[in-house]
Amino acid sequence: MRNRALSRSLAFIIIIVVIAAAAYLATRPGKPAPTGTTTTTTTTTTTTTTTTTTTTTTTTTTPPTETTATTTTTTTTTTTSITFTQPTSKEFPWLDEVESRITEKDVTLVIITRHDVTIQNYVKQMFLQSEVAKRLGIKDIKFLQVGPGLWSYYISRSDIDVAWGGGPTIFDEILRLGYVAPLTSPAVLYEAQKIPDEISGVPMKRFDENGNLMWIAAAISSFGFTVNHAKLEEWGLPMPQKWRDLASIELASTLPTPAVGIADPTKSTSNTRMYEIILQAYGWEEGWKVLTIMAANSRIYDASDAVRLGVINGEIAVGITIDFYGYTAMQLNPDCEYIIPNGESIINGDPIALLTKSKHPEHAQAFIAWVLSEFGGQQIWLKEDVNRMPANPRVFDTEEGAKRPDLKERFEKTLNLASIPFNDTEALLWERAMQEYFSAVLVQAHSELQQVWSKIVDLYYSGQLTDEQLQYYISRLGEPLTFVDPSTGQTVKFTREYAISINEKLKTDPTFYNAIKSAWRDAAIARYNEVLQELGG
Amino acid sequence: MADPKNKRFFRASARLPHISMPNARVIASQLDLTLISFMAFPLIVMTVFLLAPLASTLKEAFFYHGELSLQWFRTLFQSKEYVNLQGTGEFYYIHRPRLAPETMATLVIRGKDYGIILNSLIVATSVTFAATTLGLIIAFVLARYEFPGKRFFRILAVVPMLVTPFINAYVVKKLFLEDGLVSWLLHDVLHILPWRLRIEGYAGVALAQTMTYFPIAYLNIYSSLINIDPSMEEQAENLGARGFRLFRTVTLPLAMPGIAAGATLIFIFSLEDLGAPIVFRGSAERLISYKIYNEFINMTGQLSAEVAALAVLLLFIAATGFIIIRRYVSLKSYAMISRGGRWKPRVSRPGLKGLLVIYLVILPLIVFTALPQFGVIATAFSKEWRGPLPSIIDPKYWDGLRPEGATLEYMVKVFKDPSVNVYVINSLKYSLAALVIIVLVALTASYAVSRARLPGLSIIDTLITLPIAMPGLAVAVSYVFFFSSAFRGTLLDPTDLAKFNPAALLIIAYAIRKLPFTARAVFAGLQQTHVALEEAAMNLGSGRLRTIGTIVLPLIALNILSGAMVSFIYCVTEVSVSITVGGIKHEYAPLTFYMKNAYLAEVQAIPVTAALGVLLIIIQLTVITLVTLGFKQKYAVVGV
Repeated sequence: MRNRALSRSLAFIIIIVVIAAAAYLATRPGKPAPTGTTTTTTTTTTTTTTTTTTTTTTTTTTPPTETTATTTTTTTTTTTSITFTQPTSKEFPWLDEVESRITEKDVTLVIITRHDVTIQNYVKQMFLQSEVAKRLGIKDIKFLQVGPGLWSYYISRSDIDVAWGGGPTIFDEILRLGYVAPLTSPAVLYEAQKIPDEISGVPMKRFDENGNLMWIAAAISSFGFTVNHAKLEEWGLPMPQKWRDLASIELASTLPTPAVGIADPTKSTSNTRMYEIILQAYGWEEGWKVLTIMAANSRIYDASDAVRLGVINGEIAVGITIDFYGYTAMQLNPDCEYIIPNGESIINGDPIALLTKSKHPEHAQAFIAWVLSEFGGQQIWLKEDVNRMPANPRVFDTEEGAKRPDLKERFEKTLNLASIPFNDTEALLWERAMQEYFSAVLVQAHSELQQVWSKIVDLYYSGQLTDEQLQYYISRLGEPLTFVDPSTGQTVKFTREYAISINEKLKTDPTFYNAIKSAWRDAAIARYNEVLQELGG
Repeated sequence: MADPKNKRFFRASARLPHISMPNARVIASQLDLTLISFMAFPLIVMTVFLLAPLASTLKEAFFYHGELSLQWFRTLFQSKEYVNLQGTGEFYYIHRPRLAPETMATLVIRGKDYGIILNSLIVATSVTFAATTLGLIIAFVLARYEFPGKRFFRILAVVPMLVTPFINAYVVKKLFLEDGLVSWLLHDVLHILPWRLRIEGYAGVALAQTMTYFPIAYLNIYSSLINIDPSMEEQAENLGARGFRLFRTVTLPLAMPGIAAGATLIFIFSLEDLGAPIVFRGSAERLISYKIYNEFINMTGQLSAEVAALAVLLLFIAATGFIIIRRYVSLKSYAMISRGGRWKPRVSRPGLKGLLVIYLVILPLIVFTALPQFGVIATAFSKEWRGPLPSIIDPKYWDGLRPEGATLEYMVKVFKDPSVNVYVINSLKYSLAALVIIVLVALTASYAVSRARLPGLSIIDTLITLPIAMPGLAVAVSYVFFFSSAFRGTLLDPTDLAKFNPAALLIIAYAIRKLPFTARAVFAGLQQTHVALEEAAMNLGSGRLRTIGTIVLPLIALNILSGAMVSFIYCVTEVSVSITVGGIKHEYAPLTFYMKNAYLAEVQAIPVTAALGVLLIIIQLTVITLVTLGFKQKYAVVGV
C-alpha cells in the first residue's frame, strides 16, 4: 500500500521536474543556425574576385606583401590604399579574399579583453550574426576578462587569438614580451587605412622595427573625472578643474565621509594611466604628494567601474573615470557630468592585436578587421550603454552614426583637446613599481592615511593649523617613503630611479614582491601613525 | 525546521560504540562485501576530497622554507593591516559638510577598523549575538502566543532564508543610504531622527548579515521551544516563578540547544560571507573573507602561503566558535522528563498590551528583516530605483492604474539572453552532477553507520557532518593547493589554465559542502525504518545489496529525495567556491559568479542580478513546497 503511494508520488515529482526542465530549455533561444550551407554557396563566387594591394614607400606603414592565390599588384602612391575589385560584400570588401584562403570552418575565437560584459555581449550578438562570421565559419567567441596583472600569465599559457581593450600600456607590455603577432591580412590593412595614424600627437598604431603593424586602436578615450553636481552642491564643494583639485583641502572638507572616488591601480588600467598622467604632469615628488592627498580624500574602490557606480549613486561627489564611463554616468544620472581636466588630459588609443599563439590567425584578423570597420564593431561604440569614441571616424557617416550627433560632437571635442605631452615609454619603465607602491601605501594602508588626514583637516578647518603647517603635513604624508629594501637590507627612498630598478623584479620574483609590499605597507602605516601622534592623537 | 529526528542523528551515532560490544564472530558475520564497500566509499571520498586538501593547506601554512614554523601566522599578526588594537576611524559620526552648513547633517554609522582579523571576529560575533537575540524574541512570541495572523508571521519570518547572493546585501545598502527608505521614514516622515541616516562599512556588513541569518536562529530556537516539556514550566510556576524570571531560569536554558545550533551556524556563515563585503566595498574591505577572495582575483599561478595561513585561521576561528558555543551549551543542558512527545504546547493569548507589542514591534521587525527579499523582487521588475523606493512601487511613477515604473525586461533577459542563461545552465548541471555524488555518499555512509554495529564507525558520521562547520573559502583555498599538486597538469589543476575545467572541481566542492543536508535526511529515514524488515528479507535468502534495493531504498526514497532537493538549492546558491575557483575560467562559471560579475561590472546590471535572484527564489520556493507539501516532510534546512 504505502509503497504504491510512494512510487506514485515519486513518479509525479519526477514528471514535474522533467516538465520544468523541458520548459526551461524550450524558452532558451536556439543556437545560431549552422553556417555550412551559406558558406558553400558563396565560396564559388570568390574565385572570380581579385585583390589589389597598393602599398606605400613614403610612410612606415608597409604592409608585407601578400603571398596568396589572388593577384597582387603593387604601386607607389603617397597614401596607403588597398582596394578590392568587385567584392560580393559592399561593407566588407575583403571578405572574398579572406574566404578564398581559409579552409577551416566551425572556428571559435578566444579574446582576452578588458572590455566589460556589456560590450562583450554586443560583440557576440553583432559579430556572430554578421556576414563575416557566417561566411568564414566563426561559430563562437569566447571572452577572457582578466585583471591587467594577469594578462601575460594567461596569454603565455593558453591559445588566445586576439587581445582587445585595456589601453596601450598593457599592449606595449605584451608586445615587449613577444606575444603579439604582426597584422598582415589585407582585410585588416584595408580597414586600418580608415584610422588616423595619430590623434593629438598620440599614435593610434604601433609598428615594430620592420614596419609591421603590431597593434591598432579600435577606440579612443580621454581621461578625466565625473562629478555629481547634486552631491557637489549638497556638500558645498567647488567644481574641480584640474587633477590637483582632487587633492585640495576643499574636497577634504567632507571627511571623514570621502567626497572623491578612485580605484586601486593594480585592478584598473584606466586608473593606472591617470596616476601616470599625474606623475608626469607634476613630476615624481610633487606627483606623489598629489596622489597621496587625493587618496586621503577618497573612497578607494577595487575597480574603475565601482568608481563610476559610486558617482552615479551619489556615494561620492567626484570620481576619476575614463571618458565613456563618464558619458554613461551622464546618461544614467543627469546630475553627472564628465570633465576633462583643463590641458591635463591625454588621448589614448584603445588597441586591438593579434596574438602569436592564435590557432586561427586568418579568422582572428578578419575579426579585427570587422572591429575596425564602420559597418561592424565600430557601431558598438555608439550604443546607448557603451558611449565610446570610435577610432574610425567614418562610423558617424553610417545610418547608426547619424543617430548619435551628441557623440559626434564629443568626439570632435576630444580631438581638439589640449593635452599634456605624455611619454608612454617613460611610464612603462616604472609602471609596475608605481602600481604596487600605490596599492601598498595608499590602498592597503588607507584606513590609517584617512584617519590622520581627517585629523589634519579637522585642525585646519577649526583654525588650529595655518596654511603653512598644512603644506608641511601634506609633504610629510606624501613624500615618497624611505624604507628598508628586503633584498639588500639597505635603507632606500622610493625615487623614480629606484622604481625603475625594481620594476622587472616585481614581476618575476614573488618572494621579493611579497616582502617589499609588506615593507611599504608597514612603513606607510608607521608614518601615518607617527604624524597622528605629533598632532596629538 | 530542525526537528527531534535530526538531534537523534547525532546522539545515536555518538552512542553507537556502546550499544553492544560485538565479538569477533558477530563482526565477521556482518562484514559482507557490500557493507565493506559502503563503509569504504564515503571514507575514501571524504579523505580524498576533504581531509587531503585540508592537510595540504595546513602544510602550506605551517611550513616556511621547508621547515615547520609559525612564520606565516607571525607575519599576519604583526602587521597592522591584520591586527590593530587601537582601531582607525570612528564607529559613528555626525557628518556636517564643512563648506555647506545649510545641508542637513547625516548620522553615519560605519564601525571602526581594527584590522582584517579583528574586524572579522567583531563582525561575526556581533552578527551572531544580534541575530540570535532577534531570533529568540521572534521564536518566543511565535511559539508561545496565539494571535490573528500568526501563520502569516511565521511565513514572513523565514523569507530572509531565501538566498539571493549579493543583491540582498545591495538592497540593505540601498535601504540605509541617506536618501534611502529608512532615513526617509525616520527623518523626513516620522521626524524621530534629527539627522539623515547612512549605514555603511563594517556596520553595514553586520546589519546585512544579521537580517539574512536571523531566521537560522529563529527556526532552531522555535523548534527547541515547542519541544520543551510543558510540565517543566508548570512546575516552575507552581514553585512561584513568573514572567521574565520563568523565562530566564527555565525556558531559556531549555531552549539552549536550539540557540546554540543557530548561533554556531550564524557565526560560521557570517565569517565566510562574501556577499555583504563585496557590496559594501569602498568602506569594508578589511575582512578575512574579502582578503582571501581578493587574492583569488589576482591569482597568478599559485596562491601565496599567506593565503593558506589566512584560510587556516578562518578554519580555526570557525572551529573555535563552534567548540565554545557547544561547550557552553553542554554545560547548560538539562534533562527533561520526557522528550519529543506530542503534548499540548503552552500557548496563550496575549492581552491587549501584548497584542500591541506584537503588531507594533514584532511585526515591523519581521517585515524589516524580509525587506531585502522583497527589495530584490521589486528591483527585478523596476525600471530604476532612485530615492527611497524602487520605481515599481513608487507612487510617483504610477499613471493612474498603469505602473509606468514596472518592466519585465530583466526577467525576460534571464530566460532568453544566451549570455545570461548559459550560467544558469552551468549551475544546474553542476548541482545535478553534485547530487549524484551527494546521494551516493549519503546513502552508503548513513547505511553503514546505522546498520553495521562496529566500533569506531562514528568517524564516518563525523566526516560527513564536518563540511557544515567548514567555511567555504577554506575549502576553495585548500582545493587550489591540493589539486594543483596532487593532480598537476590535469583538468583538475586550477593553476593550469590551458587544461583546467572548473566544472569538475565545482561539482566535487558542491558535493562535499552540501552533503550534510542529504546525509542527515537519509540517516533520519534509516532510523525510522525498522531493521527487522531488512533482517526478514535477509533471513529469507536475499543478499544485502538486494535487500537495500528492494526494502531499504523504497522505504527511505522520500527522505533521500527531500534531502537531495535541499542540498540541490544549496548547491545552486553556493557562493564561496563558485566565485573563487569557479571564476578562474569564465565560460564555465556558475550562476553566482555571473551574479557577482554582473553586479560589479555591468552598466545597469543590478536589475539583471535581481532578476536572477528572483529566479533563485522561484527555485527555492518550488523545492520548499515540494518538500513540505509533496513529501509531508519538514524542511530541515538548518540546524547542526
